[in-house]
Amino acid sequence: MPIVVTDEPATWDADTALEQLYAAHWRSLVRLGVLVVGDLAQAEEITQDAFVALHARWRRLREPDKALAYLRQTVVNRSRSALRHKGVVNRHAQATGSASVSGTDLPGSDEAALTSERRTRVLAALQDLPDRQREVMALRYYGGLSEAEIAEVLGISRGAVKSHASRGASALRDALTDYLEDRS
Amino acid sequence: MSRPETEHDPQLAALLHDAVADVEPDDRLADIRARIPRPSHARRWGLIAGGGALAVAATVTAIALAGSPSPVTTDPDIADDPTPSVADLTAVPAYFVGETPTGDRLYREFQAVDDPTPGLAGLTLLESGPVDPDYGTLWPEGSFEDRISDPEAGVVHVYLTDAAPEEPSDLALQQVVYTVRAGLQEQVEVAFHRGDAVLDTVPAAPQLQTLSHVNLSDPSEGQVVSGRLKVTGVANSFEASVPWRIMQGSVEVDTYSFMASGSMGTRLWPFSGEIDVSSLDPGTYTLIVETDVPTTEGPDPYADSRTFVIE
Repeated sequence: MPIVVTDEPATWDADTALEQLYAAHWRSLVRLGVLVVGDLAQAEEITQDAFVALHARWRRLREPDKALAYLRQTVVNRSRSALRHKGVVNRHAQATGSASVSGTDLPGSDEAALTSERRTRVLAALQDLPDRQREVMALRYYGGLSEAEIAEVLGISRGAVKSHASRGASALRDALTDYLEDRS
Repeated sequence: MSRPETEHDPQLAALLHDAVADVEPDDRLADIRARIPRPSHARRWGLIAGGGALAVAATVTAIALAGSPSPVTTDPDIADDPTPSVADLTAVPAYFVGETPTGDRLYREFQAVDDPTPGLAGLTLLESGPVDPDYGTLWPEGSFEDRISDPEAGVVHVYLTDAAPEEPSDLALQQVVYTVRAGLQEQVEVAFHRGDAVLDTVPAAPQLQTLSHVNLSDPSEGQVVSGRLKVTGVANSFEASVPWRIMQGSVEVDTYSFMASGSMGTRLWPFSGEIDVSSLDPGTYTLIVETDVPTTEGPDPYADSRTFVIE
């Protein structure tokens, strides 16, 4: 089949789709992965896997919107299995007394250090959430997805999304109260 | 019906965005490209594509599988070829080689043959090659002597000539074993001879390790269709789902899925259905069927395709 490259997504071949979608979404998908999995190197690996899978799937997806939904879904699902693996490793580490304590290092007092501390605490607070709550938080507050879209990405009911969203938001507000203005 | 969205907290959104604002991932496009499997062309193996053979749609499959090959007398789905007259023809199955995500595997294709000799007719098709341009054969013209034994004690004897590959690959041997079994409707092993020597006696390898997990029987390649497109085939697919798409060039014009009669197990299961194509403009289309894959883990879906024509 001749390869035709045009600006019309419906006519993109898989290579073109990969290139276009990578240019548009690579960074934001890795960032989404970091929020879910809490680690850049792992988020890059996972997102890379998602793009490889997308290339194979492009014939079935054909539309950039569907492709983006597929990429998000793949990143989130793979993050979850990566975390499952990491959970086992961490539990093992704790059991053998070698758990990392870097999260408790005291930061300096300058602005950069404060920013860095804030970012670390937000990521840590996310990691403390149950899987589903963390995924919903990342898709909702970073991805900007509606509850219906999140339900589709995660393959769960909209009611379940609502419940995870509300519990997750409440837990994050409690954990990050230092950084939130009092809205009452 | 829709309930209001849970209140969106802009402060949380700002915190999450900020948490990854300094994340600048490495450029991995080259790595991604390097990991994408490139389909190698079937002809690298010296596969031989079919010439002017006549493909038949296999609505006769059920009959053919139930007993001896049956004359195709009233099947309206015979490919549009004026000669020879379809009234004298029989649909003969042969197994050809095609690419799949798990390497080259076998696909069954039915071709119309005038007065076939059971067992031998299929071997002749292996030499003359497939009609579907996506398939190929590993047996050059003249590979087989013009004889085949009757089944005896579960074994059929097939005689190779010097035109046959010197050391046929396992897949080439399975092309013969599957074709002979389908032609004779008997679960036989095949003893391969060359000259006075018996090369090997080969049983059928397990279906799921040998065949494409989805294989179209109808329509036939290049079939002219109006109104409804009849589709039959066999598949082993997750939850028996066989998604299909109709493409015009690279544009998808319709998509849905068939349900196979079973899933799992160690075999392929029949599926069939009709697609309303009455709204399609005249032109050439491609029907693609695939196996369903529940996750992104593991190999890509298996696929088979046929070109059909709306006049």
